[in-house]
Amino acid sequence: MAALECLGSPSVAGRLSSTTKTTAEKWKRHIIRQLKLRDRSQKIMFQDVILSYIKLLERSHQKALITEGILGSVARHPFLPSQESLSSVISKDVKAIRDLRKTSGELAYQVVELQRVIRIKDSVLDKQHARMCEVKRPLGMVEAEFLSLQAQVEEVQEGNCALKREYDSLLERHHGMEETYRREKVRGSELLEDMIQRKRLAAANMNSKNEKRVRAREVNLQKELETAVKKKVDIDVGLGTEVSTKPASPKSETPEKSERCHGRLFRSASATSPRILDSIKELFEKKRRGNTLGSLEEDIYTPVGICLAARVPAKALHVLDAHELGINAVRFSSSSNLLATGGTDRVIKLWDVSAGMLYNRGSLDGSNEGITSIEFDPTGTRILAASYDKSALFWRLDDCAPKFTLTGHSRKVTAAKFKCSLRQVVTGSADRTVKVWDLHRAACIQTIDVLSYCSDVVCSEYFIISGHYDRKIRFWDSRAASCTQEVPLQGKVTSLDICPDHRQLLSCSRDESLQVVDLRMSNSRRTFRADGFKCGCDSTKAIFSPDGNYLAAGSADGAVYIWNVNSGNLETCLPGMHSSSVNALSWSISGEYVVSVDKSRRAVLWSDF
Amino acid sequence: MESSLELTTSLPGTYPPLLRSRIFKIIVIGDSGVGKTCLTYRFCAGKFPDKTEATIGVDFREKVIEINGEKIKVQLWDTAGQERFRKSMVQHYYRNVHAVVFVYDVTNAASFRSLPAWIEECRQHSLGQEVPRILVGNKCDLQHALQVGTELAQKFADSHSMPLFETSAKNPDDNDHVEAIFMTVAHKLKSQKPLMLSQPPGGGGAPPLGKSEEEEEGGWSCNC
Repeated sequence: MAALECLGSPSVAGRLSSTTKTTAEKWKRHIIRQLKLRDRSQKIMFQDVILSYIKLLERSHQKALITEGILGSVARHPFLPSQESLSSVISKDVKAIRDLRKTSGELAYQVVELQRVIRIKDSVLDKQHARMCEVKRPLGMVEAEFLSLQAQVEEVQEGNCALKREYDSLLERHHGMEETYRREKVRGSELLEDMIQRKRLAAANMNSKNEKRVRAREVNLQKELETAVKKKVDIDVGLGTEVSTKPASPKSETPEKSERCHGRLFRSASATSPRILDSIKELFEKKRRGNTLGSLEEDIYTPVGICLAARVPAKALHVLDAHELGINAVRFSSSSNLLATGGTDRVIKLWDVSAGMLYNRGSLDGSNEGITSIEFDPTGTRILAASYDKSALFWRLDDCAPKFTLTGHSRKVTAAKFKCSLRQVVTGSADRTVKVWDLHRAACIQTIDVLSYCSDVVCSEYFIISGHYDRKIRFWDSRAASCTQEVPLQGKVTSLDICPDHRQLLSCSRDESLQVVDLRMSNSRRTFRADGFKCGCDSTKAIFSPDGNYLAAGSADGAVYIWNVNSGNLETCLPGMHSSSVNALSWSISGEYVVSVDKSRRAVLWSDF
Repeated sequence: MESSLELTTSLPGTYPPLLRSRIFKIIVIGDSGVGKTCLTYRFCAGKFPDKTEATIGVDFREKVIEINGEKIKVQLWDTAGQERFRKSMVQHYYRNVHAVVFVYDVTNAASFRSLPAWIEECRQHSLGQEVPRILVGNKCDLQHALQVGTELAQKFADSHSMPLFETSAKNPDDNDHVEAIFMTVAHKLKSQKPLMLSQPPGGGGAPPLGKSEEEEEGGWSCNC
């Protein structure tokens, strides 16, 4: 290094020696500094090279020395002073050689060792390989199997897909079918409905055809009968006897018989006119009534049967205990062969009147307490009853459960009657009111405060007439709900009845008398009494006969009394059949039967032969 | 229109009253499948029908028969036994009916047991007592399957005061029998007077029009 510096600096100094002395010093220093800097920076780069070069130099020098020494020691020992260092180097080398030999021995051992390890590993590897080979075979098999299974899966999936498709289509078809089925079913029921409708029409048609036929025949018959009657005025007797000997209708037979036997009854239908005339008369009567009724409300129904002459009962045909407790009410329907009785035992019983016997036809339940009054509507298919349970009940005969229960009274209902317009009913109650009800709505449409305990009501076209415990009969204008008239009596009014022609009103009162009030001239009153007639209770019912010629009432002693309205006298008294007070009677519209019922649950069917 | 036609045709013959033949409306009722259709078909057509289906509503069958020289049209109303086929038209069945034939199946006790219900239905339609009723036990040819004994049926018929007939609409030998049954009814209807006599006088103030007319006619024809 020093040598290099020495080599460099003399050359620079030589170049600068030509410059001036003052600046030369400065410049020298500067250049020296620069050179030193450059030297330093460049020396770093070449230091390694320089070092290694120096080493190499040294070594080569040494080697030269060694070779010289080896050669010289053997021959002339040219360099005696370096012999010592040579031997030390030789020993050192020998030692190194020994070390190296040792190391190589060790390495050789290591090689052997490692080779053994390699062999072992090789064998292991072989084994592994063998095992791998072994495993590879089943793997192949398994793989094959797997493949086949996969194929199978695919196949099955495909199959499933197909099935699913099939199923879907089937489902769709099923839906379609079901839809069709439903539609067909609807159509079927429609068709059925249609068919039934047609059949119904056909049936109605057939019925009306039949009726037309019957009517045509009737008209024919009537014409012929008229001509026949005109022709055969003088052979009436023969005709009468023939009819009576023939088993013709008993209707024709009985008037004659009674005429002959009793001879006490006046009849509008004379003995010379057997049933043929009767029927003609009936037809005329019907016509006349039809005309007069034409102006009234349209739902007023004319009963077919019209009583020409009621027959005064004389004989008990059938006596039976009709109820389990006392009977309070009895009523014939307009068809005269159906009877209803109602009693304290809460039921209304229906009876067929046939062959002079009463046959039980069924009962109407629904009342929670005893029945106080019964009424049939003129068609005979509906029943109205008043009950102790503060209600009135309304049945249709084709149904034994009440169709309506009219509730609203606060005490027992003593009477329930149809108004002339059958849509409305009137009830009288112990709660001092009379209520008017609309059957269509089953609702009370009017309440009339009647001032006293109401024991019975009847309706005429425009009036409601009520009988009271304060000994008065009151007339109410049914439209204005005002009392238009009062009729004072001598005792509590127990019942009212209105004559079928609506001209007379009958009342029964506790002063043991019956009063007939002329509705056109209310001050015209007639009183009917009889020895032994005693009003049995506060609800004893007295009635008109259907022709309005007789009055009937039951007495406390169990006898039935019948008065003649025209003569004012007692017509007959029928004792002995009842053992307790007679509560009510009913006279069939045909005029031939009377049924009386009493407190000790007995009913008696009366007729005139 | 029809009636006026009728009038003009029948008026010229003032007497004897040769009116158009009378019609008897007879309804045949009973459970479904007891053979009402077969019975009526047998009577009107004289043979057993090959195949029948449930009657819907009502089928009408008519046959003109002659009783004592008078031609009478028997109008059989073969009614549906199944409730759903008869509801809403029951009232038509019972309108102005002249006679009722109750039918049960002798091989089907249930059809016998439901007779009271049918009788009750009649009642509910306010059929008078004067309307004749008969009881017919059908399918007598199936003796091996008999379920309703004659004795039982007779008792029932007696208790409801109906005559009982056991017959078979199928059996070819019973042809006369089926006919005889309906003829019996027709006879009974034709001669209702003796029947009426057994009843209380008058039979009520409002006899059905048809009946009163029959009586009148009866009285009249013997008068001539």
